[in-house]
Amino acid sequence: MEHPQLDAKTAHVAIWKRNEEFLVNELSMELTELRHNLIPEGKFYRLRDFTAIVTLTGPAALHIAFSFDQGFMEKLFAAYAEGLDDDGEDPSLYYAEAAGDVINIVVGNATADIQVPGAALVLSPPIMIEGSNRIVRHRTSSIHMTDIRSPEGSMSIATMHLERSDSHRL
Amino acid sequence: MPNTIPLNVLVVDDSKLTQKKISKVLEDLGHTIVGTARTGAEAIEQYAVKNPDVVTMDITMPDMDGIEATKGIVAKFNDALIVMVTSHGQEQMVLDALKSGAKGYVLKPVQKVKLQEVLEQVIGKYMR
Repeated sequence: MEHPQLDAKTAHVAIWKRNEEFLVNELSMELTELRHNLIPEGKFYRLRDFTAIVTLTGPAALHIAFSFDQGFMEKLFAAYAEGLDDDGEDPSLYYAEAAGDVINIVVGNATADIQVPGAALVLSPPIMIEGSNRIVRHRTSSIHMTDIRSPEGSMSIATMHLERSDSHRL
Repeated sequence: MPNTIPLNVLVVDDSKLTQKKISKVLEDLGHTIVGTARTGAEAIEQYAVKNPDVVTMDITMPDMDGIEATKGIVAKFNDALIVMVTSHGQEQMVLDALKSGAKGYVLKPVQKVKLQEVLEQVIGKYMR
């Protein structure tokens, strides 16, 4: 019996809502603006300075990216690491790890909101990318994107879905 | 708010930052961190060496995940007290973790009160 599929938009909405809840309630960050986009075919999703990507598999195959600019990451890290002993290391060495922790917590928590009965959602460990770049939307994929701004900088969330499985054809 | 029974705890998480955060919460509760591990394989090795009272175990880790590591520890030490610490809110994942031999679970981000509650439940029910 086939399980119902999880659609990318439903997952994306659950993820950005959990992200907002985490940043505001857990880290006491002030968010000033949210903008949602569905990236058109041939256009691209621009990555910021620090990006973490996870894959959610099961009733969907989604790649989810959280991408932070320097200012947003500095503020996020200061809040996330508050109360921890200073080990003398440069805090920027931990930025990629903090990005990985945040995406793991937010997307992991969001799986409670997007459960598909009888089908397990499996979350991969995060992959980190440093330095800005871009992901171009292929015609067989969709990219739902939310841009989030704070006084210190901005971040974005992208939920990427391969809509048809014909991309492997030569 | 220290726990009444100080425990020796092994903290397993692939993120060094999360290890530090969980360790801080545990130390604030009056427990001692006897070791840390960043992979499932390391957790199994460390358990044999450190013989902790309790393990806090992440689920999503590279190479061997927390569920496999829990099975590996319980296969050798069937009285091991393992608490899963996971961001995964999905019921199925939590059930799989408990089936693997974990005695309890707590969701990330870890709240001091929640972790203490789970430790007290696990200790009260299983510690000999």
